[in-house]
Amino acid sequence: MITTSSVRVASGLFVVCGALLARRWHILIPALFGLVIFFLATRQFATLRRCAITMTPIVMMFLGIQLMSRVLSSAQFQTPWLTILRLCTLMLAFSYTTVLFEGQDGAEKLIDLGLKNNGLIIALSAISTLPLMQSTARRITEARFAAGFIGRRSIFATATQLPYILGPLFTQALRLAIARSDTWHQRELSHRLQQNLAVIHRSRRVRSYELLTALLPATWIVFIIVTEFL
Amino acid sequence: MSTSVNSKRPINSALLIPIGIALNLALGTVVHLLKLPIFLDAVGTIVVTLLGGVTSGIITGVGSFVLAGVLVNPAYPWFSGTQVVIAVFARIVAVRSGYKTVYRRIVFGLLLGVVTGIVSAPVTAFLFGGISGSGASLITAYLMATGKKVVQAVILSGLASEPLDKLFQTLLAYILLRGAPPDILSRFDQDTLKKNGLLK
Amino acid sequence: MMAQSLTSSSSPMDPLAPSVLFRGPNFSGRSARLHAINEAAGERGFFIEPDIIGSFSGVSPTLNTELDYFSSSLQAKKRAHDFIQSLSMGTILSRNPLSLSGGEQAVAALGLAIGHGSERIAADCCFEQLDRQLRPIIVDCFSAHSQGQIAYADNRADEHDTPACDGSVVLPATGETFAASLDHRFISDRPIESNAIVIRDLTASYDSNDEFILSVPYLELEPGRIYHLVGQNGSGKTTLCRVLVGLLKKTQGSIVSGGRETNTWARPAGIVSLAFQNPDDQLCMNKVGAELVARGCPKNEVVSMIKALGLPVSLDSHPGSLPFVLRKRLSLAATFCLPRGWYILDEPTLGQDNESIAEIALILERMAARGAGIIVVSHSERFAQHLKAVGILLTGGICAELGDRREQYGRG
Repeated sequence: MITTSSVRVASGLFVVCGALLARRWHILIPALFGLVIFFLATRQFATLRRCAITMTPIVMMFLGIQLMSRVLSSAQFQTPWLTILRLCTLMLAFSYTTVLFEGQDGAEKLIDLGLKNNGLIIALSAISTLPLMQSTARRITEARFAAGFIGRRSIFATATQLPYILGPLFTQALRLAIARSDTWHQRELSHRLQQNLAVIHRSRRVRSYELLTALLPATWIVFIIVTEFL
Repeated sequence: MSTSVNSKRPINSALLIPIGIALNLALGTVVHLLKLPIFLDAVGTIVVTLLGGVTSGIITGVGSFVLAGVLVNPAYPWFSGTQVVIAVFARIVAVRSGYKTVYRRIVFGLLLGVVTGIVSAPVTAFLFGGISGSGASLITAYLMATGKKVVQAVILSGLASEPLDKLFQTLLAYILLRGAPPDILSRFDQDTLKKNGLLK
Repeated sequence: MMAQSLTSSSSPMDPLAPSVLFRGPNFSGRSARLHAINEAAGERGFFIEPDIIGSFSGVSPTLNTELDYFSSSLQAKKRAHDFIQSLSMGTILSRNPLSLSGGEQAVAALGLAIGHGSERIAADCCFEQLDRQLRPIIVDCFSAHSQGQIAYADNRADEHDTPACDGSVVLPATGETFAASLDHRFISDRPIESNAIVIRDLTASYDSNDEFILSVPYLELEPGRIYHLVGQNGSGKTTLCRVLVGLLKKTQGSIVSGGRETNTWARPAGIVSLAFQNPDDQLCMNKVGAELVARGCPKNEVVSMIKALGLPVSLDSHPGSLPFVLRKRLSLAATFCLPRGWYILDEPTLGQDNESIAEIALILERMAARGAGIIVVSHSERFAQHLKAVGILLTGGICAELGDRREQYGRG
């Protein structure tokens, strides 16, 4: 059955393939434009901001190289705008595939994508456990402060504490892994999870207009292949 | 807790991996909190490979990068291939007791850096045009400005920066494992751990 | 409720008693018994460790989802919801179980056990962080909603008037007890230098959006005395401790120590040292001896420090290999190694039996007699009775000094 999530992943993959095949930068404009409009329309400003933050130092460095090459050598370096635009497209395509909206259940999305059994457990567990690890890391850092190991707050003083923070964090992480392994084994939780998910979760069949979002990039790839390679 | 640790049941790797992934990302948070200019992207992969085998290590590495791509920086997922290589390398070295002495650890840490420098070069060169935004990119930038080709510049700068970074991460992974309580370590892959001097 | 005594030679679980309490000092084998019951129950068992976290599956973003994914039936799920609601803790259902506080996690784990439809639940010393009004009723409430039996160990079970169980098993002490390994001769009598702390008009906010504000108009803490911070969970006890240690920046007000205004944020643990609730957050070395030396204990005093806190361990053993009871005591020892005049102890009685908390109270009194100032945050009334402490009550973030706690508890 074709579900909404699989359509989303398929269209994301099509955009990625097209971006990798493109040989001229103006071919990428429609894909980039479509993705930016999507993120703006769904108010996912954080994603756009993250991409911008990643891309800014890269673009600045390329411009710097161009400047330097004029000074240093006779070989003229041209800023590779194709590469930059392709990178933007790839990053936005990845975010497009993985972004979750308010109220959307991460678990449902992963199941729609076909993750089962151990794969599903790993994905769900990593996402749920991450805040716990982060707060444990914060608590251990504070314990170092509270034990008087760091006399004065400064960059240098805190940097030397890193090995001492990782040790307790690692030990607590391993203890948790062992406790969970025993819990899952004893109560046969993976069996229960399968049974209950089959009852709770009903995948949504894709609607016809949503198929457009996959058809558009597919058309775009065909266009690229025709114009570039034939 | 003591009795459950004493039972001999092997650990289900599906429950070790998410903790390896969460640990990797939390380490990134710690590094950020302490304002340190280093990355700890492979420590979790090496540790999980030693504890649970090469498949667990690969899934941890790729999973960490994909999740980091969602939460932190969308540039990460494209380097997942490097994580696979790190896990395989760590496994091959560990099976041959390559982490037993300090000398061997240094050699294999540097070698890991060389390997990752070469493996990640095509991704950096083709997808990023040579500049990935990290500190090593400055070296690449200089080399490209003086006329070197992209791939050459990336490999040269990778060989300059990666070995030290991976050496640091390998040593850190080893220190972490050595610092863990022995009765916890004994629940994992005892053969490999004994071969590398981490368990009696 | 008729208390039935079960001899140790009978089967682990009396089929008629919905709840059984295992009593006994530390190391009397209560955990081993509970584990045996759990192993015998197989898939129908549910074990809750002292740190509770391992009992959750770790895949669910909220407690509701956890119940959805792992309940054995809709009726069981409804019973679990009813149990949690009956304790007025419905808010925990929409939160990530891994982010709950200790007391909330205990309730969540019990709710999960009901949802699982488990027939045998074994709970090992996990009720100590519950609020005072919940502790006497929790087991009764659980039995009312669950179709299974619960066997549990609780160090603070004697503190409520009615024993909340239908049967109890008393296990004798075995091997080293705290008192046997404690050697009072080794508690040093050297005077400790410390200054009075005066807090004026202090406000601090825990959330960046000022959702919770702590306000202390005036508080004077004299050295040589023991203070007991009292208040509901979320009333600001932790916030006050964190400001004093320098982990949280105060928004206004002044902390004056020894006549000089101190910026605790710039110099963390400059005047106060804090012993964390979870000892695993504090212990960072590979060897017990190194743990104490790293915090400033002179090498020749390490052995006496170990004996003074009743730790029957070798200096070379790994702190992580010790059972929780001993790790907690080690973290106390480590805190006292730091040469500061003031010590804040967060729940020092976790996992310790009644004999041990009396001894810990004695140790604290001796430290106070040497001149140290001690602030204790504890849910245990019995511990508060042992300490001749001055109470500081915090309600909704506002602080008021209470006076001698013995008057408070002298019910006669």
